[in-house]
Amino acid sequence: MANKDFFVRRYKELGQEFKDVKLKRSLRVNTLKISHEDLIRRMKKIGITLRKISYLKDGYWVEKAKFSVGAITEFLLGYYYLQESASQIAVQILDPKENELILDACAAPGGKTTQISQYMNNQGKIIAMENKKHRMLSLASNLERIGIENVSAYLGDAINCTKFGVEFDKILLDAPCSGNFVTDKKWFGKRDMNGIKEVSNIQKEILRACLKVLKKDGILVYSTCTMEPEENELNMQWLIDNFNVKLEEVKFDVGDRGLTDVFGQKLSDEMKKCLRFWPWKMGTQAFFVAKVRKC
Amino acid sequence: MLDNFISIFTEERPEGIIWKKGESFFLVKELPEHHPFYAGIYLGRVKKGFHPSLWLLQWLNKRTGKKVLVDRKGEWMFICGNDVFKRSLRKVARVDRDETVLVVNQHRECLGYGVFQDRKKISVKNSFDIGDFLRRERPEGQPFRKPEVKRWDEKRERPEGQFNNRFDDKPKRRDYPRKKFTKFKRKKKSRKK
Repeated sequence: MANKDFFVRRYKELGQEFKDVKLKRSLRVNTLKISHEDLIRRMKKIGITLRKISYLKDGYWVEKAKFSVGAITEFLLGYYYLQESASQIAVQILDPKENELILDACAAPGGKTTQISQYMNNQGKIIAMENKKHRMLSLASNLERIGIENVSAYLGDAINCTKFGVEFDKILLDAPCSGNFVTDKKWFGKRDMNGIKEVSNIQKEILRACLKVLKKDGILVYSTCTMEPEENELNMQWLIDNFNVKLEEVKFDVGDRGLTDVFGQKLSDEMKKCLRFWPWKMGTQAFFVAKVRKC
Repeated sequence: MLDNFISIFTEERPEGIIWKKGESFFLVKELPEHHPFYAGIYLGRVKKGFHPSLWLLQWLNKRTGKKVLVDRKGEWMFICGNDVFKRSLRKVARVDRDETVLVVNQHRECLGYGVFQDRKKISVKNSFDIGDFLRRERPEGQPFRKPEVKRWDEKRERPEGQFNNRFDDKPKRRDYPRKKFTKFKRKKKSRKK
C-alpha cells in the first residue's frame, strides 16, 4: 500500500495524527413503526444490547449481539435501519418538516431518504434521485421495508434535477465521494489524487444543478464521507465564491470545525461553520457536513 | 393478479389509486409524473406467483382471519424460506386444506403467506416470506456466492523473503517411511436371539 504513506502525510499536514479505526455497528430506530422502548425491549429479549448514541435522535450502538443484526425478523419488518452513526447527522442538520418538498439528490441505498421521511412523518413530499440501477433496487427495497409512503424515486443523474420544473424547500446532497479507509479496508490502494479531483469536479456539477432548483432562502445540506479537503472545504469555498449563497453554522455538540488552512491555502473563516468527523477522534467513519442557504 | 391475491383474504380494497409499473403495483394519491421508478406505497409484484409487499401483508393481517400462528423456531424457519412444520404451529384459524393462509409470529406480525396442508409433518407450504428482502438483491439464477476459502493443502502466497510457515527454514523431514494406512473394520454386531 504505497499510497497509504502519501495520505497519512497529507492528514499530518492538516494537523491530524492517523490512527486505524475499528468501526462499531450502529442502527437507527424506525419511529414510523416502533418506539425506542419497545425495540430495546424486543432486542434485549433475543440477546442484543443497544446503547443510545448521545448526539443522535434515534441512533443506537449495537453493544452485544448473538446474531447478525442484519438478518433477524425485527430487521426484516423494518423496525430499524442499519446506518453508520456519522451519516445520521446530515438529516438531523437538514431538519425536514412535515409540509416541505425535499430533494435527495444522490439517494441510494436509502439510509438518509428513509430518515428524512421518518422526520416528516410520511407527510410532505420527497423526490429521490439515483443514477445506478442496481443501487436503485436497494433503495426501493429499503423504502418498502421501512414503510415509506411519501417518496418518488427517479432513476437518473442528479444533474438533471432541473427537468422536474419545481423548486425545493430543502435539498440533501450526500454527494458521491471517494469514501474513506474506515468503511473500505482497501481504500488506500484504490485512491489517488487524480481520482479525488475527478470526483470533486462531479460534485461541483451536482452542486451547481441543485442550487438552480433550490428556493430562495432554501437550505442545502452538503455531506460527504471522505476526509479529503478537495471534496469538502475546497468545494464549499468554490460555492461561496461563485454563487449567491452563505454558509450557516452547523450546530452540533461533537466533532471538529471545518478547515480554514488547507495545505497552505487560506480559506474563508466561514469554513469554521462546517462540521467534520475525524475517524480517530470520533470512532466513526469520516464525515463532513455543510449547511448552505441560498440568498 | 393483485386483485385476485387480495380477494383471497378480504373483499376490502386499499384506498387510493393503484398504479401499475411493469410487473409492480403501487398505491398512490395521484398518478405520478416523469415516470418514477418507485412512488407512494409499494404493493407487490408478479414474479412466479404474486410477491406482496410488507405493507400489503400487514394490511391484510388486520383484515383477515385466515392465518396461522407459529412459534419462534417456526418463525425463523419460515423466514429462511422453509415450510412450517406441524410442531411449530401454535394457533390455526378455521381453514380448509389447500387454502392460502397468512403466517404470523407470536407478536401477531405477518411474515408471509403459504398454502395450508393437512399432512403428517408439513402444515403450511411456503409461498412467500419476508426473508425475500435478503434474497432479492442477488442476481437472478445465481446461487449464494460461497466465500473463497483456500484448501488446507494450498500454499499461501507470501512476499519474497517471508517463509510460508515458521518451519520453512528447516529442512523437511520426509526421509522416514510413512505409516501404512489401515482400514478400520467395524465388527459385525451379533444378532440377539
